[in-house]
Amino acid sequence: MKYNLIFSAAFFFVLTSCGTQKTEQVSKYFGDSIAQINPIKVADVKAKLGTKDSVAMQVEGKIVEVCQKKGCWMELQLDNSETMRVTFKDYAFFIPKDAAGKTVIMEGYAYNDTTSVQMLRHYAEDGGESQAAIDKITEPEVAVVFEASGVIIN
Amino acid sequence: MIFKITLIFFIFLGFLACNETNRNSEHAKVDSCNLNTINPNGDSELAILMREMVSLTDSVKQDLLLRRAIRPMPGILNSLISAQKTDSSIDTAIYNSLAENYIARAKEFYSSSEESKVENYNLMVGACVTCHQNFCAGPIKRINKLLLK
Repeated sequence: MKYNLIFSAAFFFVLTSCGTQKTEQVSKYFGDSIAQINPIKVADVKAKLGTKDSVAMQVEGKIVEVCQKKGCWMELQLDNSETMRVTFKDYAFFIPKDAAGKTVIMEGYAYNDTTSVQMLRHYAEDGGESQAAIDKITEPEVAVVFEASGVIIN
Repeated sequence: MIFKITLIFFIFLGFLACNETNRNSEHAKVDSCNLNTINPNGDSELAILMREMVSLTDSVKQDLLLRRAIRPMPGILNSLISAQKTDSSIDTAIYNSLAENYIARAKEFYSSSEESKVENYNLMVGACVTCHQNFCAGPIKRINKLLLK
């Protein structure tokens, strides 16, 4: 009886060792590689930018929306009410369209920019907004935006 | 004695399996880090063509800046209308007319005299911008970098 129990325990140990796959977080890189990872939180972008035109920085945040046409831009939650639009330098790379909800580390420039009505409508269309919602966009938007040269999605 | 040997064998097997799983997962991580795709969502024929056009126009810009001879107009530009689009809703008469306008501007540039080359080059790049203002404004910033000041 005692031997049976010890054998059963040994069998169980071997079986679970073989069957266990570690659910390790796999990072995916897009664009330029990021040599050293030392990001600030997305909520701190505005403070770091301050009154400067643009500032190079590495930022970590959560993706809340991705362009559904090509994956050519994403939006990160900046604070409770605001998001920050991120485009990719020189339109040279894209991210997976299903990346919303994931954490991203990106390197590039944050800057204040005025987005034209035409571009805002384009983004709304890419984001899958209705025609009625697109038509409601009539004013340009002044906001902090980010141009990423490389991103890591976890 | 046999019992002890069997038990040690099982424990050894367990450790081996653990070790193998860790090695495989480390290998998968390294593979993924090497992944550097331009578009993980898949490219349409038109998207690939556009990238070729950017690279081509960039090299033409360099040729003009360095006063090198311009190579003949590449045939790929003619597939601008027939290439499969990322978004099929842009396959319209307006798109076709803007694409034809671009091809006409390109033909003009490639056949123009030395004196009017730069002007016609900028008109050709401008035709790209006009089309993208109507259909996909995303790359306009990149296209504007192709202009010769």
